[in-house]
Amino acid sequence: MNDEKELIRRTLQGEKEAFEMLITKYQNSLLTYISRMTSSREMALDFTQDVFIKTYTNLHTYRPQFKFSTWLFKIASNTMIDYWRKKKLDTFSIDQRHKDDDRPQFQLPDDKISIENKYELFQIRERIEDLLDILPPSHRELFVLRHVNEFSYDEIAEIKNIPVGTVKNRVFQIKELIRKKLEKKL
Amino acid sequence: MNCLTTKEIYLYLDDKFPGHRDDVEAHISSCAQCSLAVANRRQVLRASKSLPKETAPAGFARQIINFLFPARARLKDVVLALSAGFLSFVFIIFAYLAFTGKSLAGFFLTLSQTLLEAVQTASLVTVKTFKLFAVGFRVVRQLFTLAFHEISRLASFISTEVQILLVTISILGFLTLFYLLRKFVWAGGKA
Repeated sequence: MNDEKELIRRTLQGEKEAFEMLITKYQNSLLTYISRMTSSREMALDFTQDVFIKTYTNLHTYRPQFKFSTWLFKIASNTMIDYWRKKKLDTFSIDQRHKDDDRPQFQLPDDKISIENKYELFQIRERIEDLLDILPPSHRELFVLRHVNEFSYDEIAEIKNIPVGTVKNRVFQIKELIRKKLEKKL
Repeated sequence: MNCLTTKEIYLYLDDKFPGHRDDVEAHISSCAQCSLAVANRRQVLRASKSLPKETAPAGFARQIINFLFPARARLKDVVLALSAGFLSFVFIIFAYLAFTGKSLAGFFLTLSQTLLEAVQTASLVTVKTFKLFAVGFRVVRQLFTLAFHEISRLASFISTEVQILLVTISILGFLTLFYLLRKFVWAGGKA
């Protein structure tokens, strides 16, 4: 963490090697997140480069009390929102409460089959990959941030600039949605 | 303990369950429905966490750095390039001398003679070009003088109103010509 702050300080002083080290540290996690949000690897690489360039040009506005990773992913998330807007994809804000927001997660579970006994892990993983592609981008983003990039709920709340409770509820909903779709498909 | 809601199951799997974990675990082990529900969700979470991660290609970070900081030629590199160029030139001259068997003095004499001839030719061409321009200028000046005299003579016979009319027609004609040229020649239209 302190190393990271030191790298940022050195970058701001014009040391390009310091910024190269920051890129090397985050390039794979950022590329993984962006790849899940776009349709091709080439496009993901272009967006990743774009995000790092934006990060560099705005580095003077970074406030050290926040984690650098959340700040970086906030820039990435905004870049993705711009991309979805251009593609006219679903970009509704996740803090918009839907009327059925509280329903599924408070109900008792309605599992009918045992996924664990019936299917191998890789089969479920393949299904999840297929399902992620058809999820609305805003849902997919939360799921990827939580379960692929392994951000905490607090960090996701900071990235998306919404309350932690909303993030938790929405992530639970998405997971439940995926599980139900898996149960139907498998 | 009552059966867990789906939200409570996720909180339990996230290690964020507000109550006693031992109580929950005791309930799960004794309740078939909750046990199945927890197992299914745990399996989905395990599968999600094992989704493949992307890896950036080699040199990706360097590529971004090169984009942010385009390379500028350093003075040292420029001096090195000029020195290399000069040395190559010297080497070619010596290679030529060695191949033809000429002396260095003879080579420079031939070179200076060639240069002298080139300068003489260039001077001659320059003088002739200037003479040509001077003749062209005189011809154009005489043409304009003649045209001015003739128009003045013509104007003395024509009334002011007719003169204005003629000037207007000329301007309109010129503008029309300009428009047609622009439309059919420059803009690539069809005549």
